[in-house]
Amino acid sequence: MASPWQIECLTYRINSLVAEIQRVSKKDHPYNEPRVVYEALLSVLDGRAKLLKDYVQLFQLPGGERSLQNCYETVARDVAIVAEVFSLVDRVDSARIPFEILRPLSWAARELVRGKYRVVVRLDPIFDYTFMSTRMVFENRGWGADWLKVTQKHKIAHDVLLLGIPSAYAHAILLNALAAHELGHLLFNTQRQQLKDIITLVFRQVFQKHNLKLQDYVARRARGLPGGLTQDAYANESADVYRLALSITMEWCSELYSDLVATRLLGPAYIAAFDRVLIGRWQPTESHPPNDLRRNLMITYFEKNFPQIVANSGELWASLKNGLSESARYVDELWTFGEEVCRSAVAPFTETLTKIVNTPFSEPPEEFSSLISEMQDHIDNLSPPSAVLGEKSMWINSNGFWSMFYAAWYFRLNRARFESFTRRYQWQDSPSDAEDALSNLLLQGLRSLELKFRFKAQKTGMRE
Amino acid sequence: MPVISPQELLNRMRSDMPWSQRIVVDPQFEIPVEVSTASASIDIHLGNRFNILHRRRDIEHDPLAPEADVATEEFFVSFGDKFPLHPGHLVLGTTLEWFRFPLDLMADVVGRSIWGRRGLLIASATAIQPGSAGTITLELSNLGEIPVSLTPGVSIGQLFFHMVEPPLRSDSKLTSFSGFLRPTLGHYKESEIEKFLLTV
Repeated sequence: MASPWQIECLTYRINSLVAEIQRVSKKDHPYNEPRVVYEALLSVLDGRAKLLKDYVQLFQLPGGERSLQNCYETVARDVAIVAEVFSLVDRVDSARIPFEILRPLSWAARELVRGKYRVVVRLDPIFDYTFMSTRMVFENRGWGADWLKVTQKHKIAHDVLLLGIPSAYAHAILLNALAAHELGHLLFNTQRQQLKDIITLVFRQVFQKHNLKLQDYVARRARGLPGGLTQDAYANESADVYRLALSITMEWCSELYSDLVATRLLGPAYIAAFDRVLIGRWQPTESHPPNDLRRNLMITYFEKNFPQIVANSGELWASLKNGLSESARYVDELWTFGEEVCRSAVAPFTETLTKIVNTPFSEPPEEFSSLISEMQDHIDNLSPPSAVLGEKSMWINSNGFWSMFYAAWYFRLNRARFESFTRRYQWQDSPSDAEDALSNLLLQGLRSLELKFRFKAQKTGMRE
Repeated sequence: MPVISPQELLNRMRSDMPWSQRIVVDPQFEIPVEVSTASASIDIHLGNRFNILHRRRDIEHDPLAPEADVATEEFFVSFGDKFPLHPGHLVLGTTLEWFRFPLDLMADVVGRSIWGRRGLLIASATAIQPGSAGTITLELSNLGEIPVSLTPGVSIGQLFFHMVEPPLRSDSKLTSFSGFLRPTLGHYKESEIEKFLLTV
């Protein structure tokens, strides 16, 4: 049974966390969304504090120990999770954050997933991009009522998406092409059942094909156990391997699907950003397939589905395609299995994506090519790529948004052109200044496009 | 130095104008197509970022020693929110618009009288050099006696353009403020004469 001292410690933890969240919520945030999340977390804590108090009063008498213990454990777990979620949303106010991108990204998310979203960016201490749907966090933990209560109070109907960007590269807007992958996860979640069916089917087919190899694998694992290969050990290992294989399949396929969404939206721009962030980290994990496999599948997907774009990008595509020689070494046979599942899932995923993800690459190739050429011309002359879109109002949409990323990366990857740009504006001594200027042009372009879209929507009375 | 005409301003913003003569303003929500609706100036709107210069005991303004220059703190204020500027205070802001200047035009930043009469000065270094590009850093100071609310998106001033004859050559050394999006203090670059005068 939880002792009075344990109850006191837990109560102190709750009170301390409440005080900290209240303190941080008073900070000067440019947008209201973080405060909504803080308030929902406070609502959860308030509920748990009351629950604990009630249980202490009701069950401290002899015979109620078990109920009190259960309550104590539940509350302690929830408080730990609240602290964890809070630690993810407590650094969203630094002026280093490119706040200009929040509205454009929220708009791109809405256009892609057809839901109501607001993006909040946090600086992540790890050099990686992360993503979290706050509403899902609350719902998955049984706190949906707290989320609903607070969002209704603030009259907001949207989910708050928390995008983590590497703190060390907060200014590198080109890398934000990776946000397309994170939005792919969001799309995956909204299509979860349909995609789960596809993945399960692929899993079964590959599992059947590899059945003998997997039996050997299970037997080898069972032999390594203290009691050796017995019938029970084999059965237990077999069940474990099946669970692990299924889990790897689901995780890897979710990553693959998000990669394909990003490739469909950005093509080489996504692959270039992917290389910059993930270079040197090529080994697979249970949650992520090996990066060279991901890269190969993205390249194959893009070449097969958008041959005209590949043809128009000429040497740039070739240098990007052949630009890396790093590869992963598999140390576990299940990873070979996972690779085959991923390869087999590309075709059904491609079919699904064709139906649900609009892409700038589907526009007439000559028109797209001319747009990108004009955008690069603007960049070359220190003019934001969005300035082109004033005359091409049919691109004032999310295709225009992704096209600007494409144009900026295309410009960056063209070595001769970028070097000439660097020399022309006297940034030779500090080439990172040239990339910063390119980032600034892109950021201004993204912000400008979203403002133009909203202005147009307001004037014409169309849906935002 | 004459201000360039509305007709010339319209011509300079056309996309078929050569880059050496072209003005770009972005975002530009409504592009005037006729000279009758055009103006001899371009409106500038207040951006979202502000840079406050902090007071510290051990430091003073010294542009010649950037490492010892004042510390600044940046704020982002979203559309719909306000930033109060108190009497006697100076804050750096930016224009919402990104401007790209051709090699044969310069511009003067002029505040709107509606703000000026309330004590707000928007720029002290008012000349924009030919060939510069980026958002324009504004030196916003409140000369009045009561606080002034700065609201991002508000029309805060205008740019008046003048010809530079002959124009700069395309290989001319351009201003060091090109390509910036955020308000910036800038670094002082000593000329040969200054180097001489400071050490003589």
